[in-house]
Amino acid sequence: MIKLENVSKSYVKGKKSVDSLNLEIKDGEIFGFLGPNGAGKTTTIKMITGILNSDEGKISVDDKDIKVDSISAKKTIGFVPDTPDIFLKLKGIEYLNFMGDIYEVPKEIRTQRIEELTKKFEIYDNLNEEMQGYSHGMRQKIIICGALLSNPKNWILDEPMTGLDPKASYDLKEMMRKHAKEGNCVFFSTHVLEVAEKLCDRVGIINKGKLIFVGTFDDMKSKLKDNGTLEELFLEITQDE
Amino acid sequence: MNKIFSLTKVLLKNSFQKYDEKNNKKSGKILRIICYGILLIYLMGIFGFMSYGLITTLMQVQQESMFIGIFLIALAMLTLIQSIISATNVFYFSKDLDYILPLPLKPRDILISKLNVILVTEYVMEIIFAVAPIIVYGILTSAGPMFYIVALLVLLIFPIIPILIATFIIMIIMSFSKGAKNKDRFRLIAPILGIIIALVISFSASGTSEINDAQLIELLMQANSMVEVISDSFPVIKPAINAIVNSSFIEFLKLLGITAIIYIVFLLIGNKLYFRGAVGNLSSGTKKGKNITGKDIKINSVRKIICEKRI
Repeated sequence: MIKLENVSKSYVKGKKSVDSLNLEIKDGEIFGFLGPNGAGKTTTIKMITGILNSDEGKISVDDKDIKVDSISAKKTIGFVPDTPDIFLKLKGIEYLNFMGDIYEVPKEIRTQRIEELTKKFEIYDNLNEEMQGYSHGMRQKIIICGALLSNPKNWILDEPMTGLDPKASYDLKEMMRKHAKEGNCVFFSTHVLEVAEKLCDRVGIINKGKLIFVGTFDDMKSKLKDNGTLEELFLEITQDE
Repeated sequence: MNKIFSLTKVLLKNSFQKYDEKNNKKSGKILRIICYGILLIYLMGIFGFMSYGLITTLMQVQQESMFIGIFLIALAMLTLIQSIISATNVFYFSKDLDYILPLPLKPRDILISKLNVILVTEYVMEIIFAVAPIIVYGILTSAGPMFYIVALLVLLIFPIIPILIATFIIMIIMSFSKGAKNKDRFRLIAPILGIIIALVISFSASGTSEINDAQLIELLMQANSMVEVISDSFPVIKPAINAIVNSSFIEFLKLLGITAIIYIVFLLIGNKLYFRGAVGNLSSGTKKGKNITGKDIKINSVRKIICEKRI
């Protein structure tokens, strides 16, 4: 469970990038975080994962405060950042072993999970190559494998489908569904409305730092007058602000 | 401990430039190793010969032990200058914090791992600059095996305090200065800053007296007085000198103790200072700029644009 209470963040005085955000993502739920570019999605995710400190408010992951009990909270998070250009001089297997060390994954489980995940994403044969030689999609896959290696309870994924081929994208969506079904929590940001509609139990829309909608897609449709397309619904909500 | 080791290994691997895949063939690797080997021997040879000249001169006036003082001061200055550049890159401009901070690592573990990366870089520098002078000194003074053991231990511990000083200076600057967040500008300024600090220390120690006309021995005597002054204000120099000159394990333990205390104090202060500066550095959200006017849209020559970009 991820809970944000009155969370605010400013980079520049007088301009809040995230403004009094209240949000609760329950266990067993896939939550999609939508919003235009620069709306505050990545800032929110960075605060949940402890990369940035919030100026105000409280963030807890499985009832652990990310500021106070950060190590315990972070252990339950599997995070995929928006850019996969990470430790590129390492080989794929070196990166996964590093993630295994940090999350204290025992050797037997590590071996089994690495094989399972990398075979699913079809990068098993590339594990002995340096990541700087990987394509964008392959880098994204290895980062996802690293994040999921410890089988964390809470998945936080910042635009995870970017660069993935259709099969990998399909597999990841299936994995997200399965993970949520097992009572875990999946929180991800996306620009692809169709993905959000098909995958998410609920969505939140953020614009100019403020959360302007939280609910299901059906709630969203029923709130609006016109029975338009997803894009039209999204534009109507974000332009009203 | 395991996490620190893992993170250090990853940061080290990631910080050393490698050739691209095409150059990674076995024959290329062997050739590269041979070239690096020749360069290393050449550089070690130069420093060995320089040390030989200086030690034999000092031996004429029975002052050969003075060499170790001069050598350690030079090593400390070199480490200080180099660490200012390394600390800037490793701690602030490496772009890895975005990926490290979400991991379940204590801030202290991240700090230690990053210090380890700088320390390893300094060890490489020591192999080039410090090993040959120590060996030459040992041979010329007919030192026993204990000398080499203690000297090796001193060389392992000695760079830590200059690294901590350099890192502390960088952390202070990054925590309180917004201008330092401009990467390119700061990369240009950092080495100059390092040289200035080293010069200030040596000038304040040697005074402002003209040394151009002095004879070599007189120069060395001045250097010796400089060593005295610096070692008074720089607590690790004296035990390091005594440890090597007298092959004294007790003096080495003194050096180790002082270093350990300063290291712990640094961790306590650095923890807060670093994450304040580093997390602030990540806070690069869109700033509200002025609206553009007609003057902002202009046609420039390609040459001018490239020059402006470089500056």
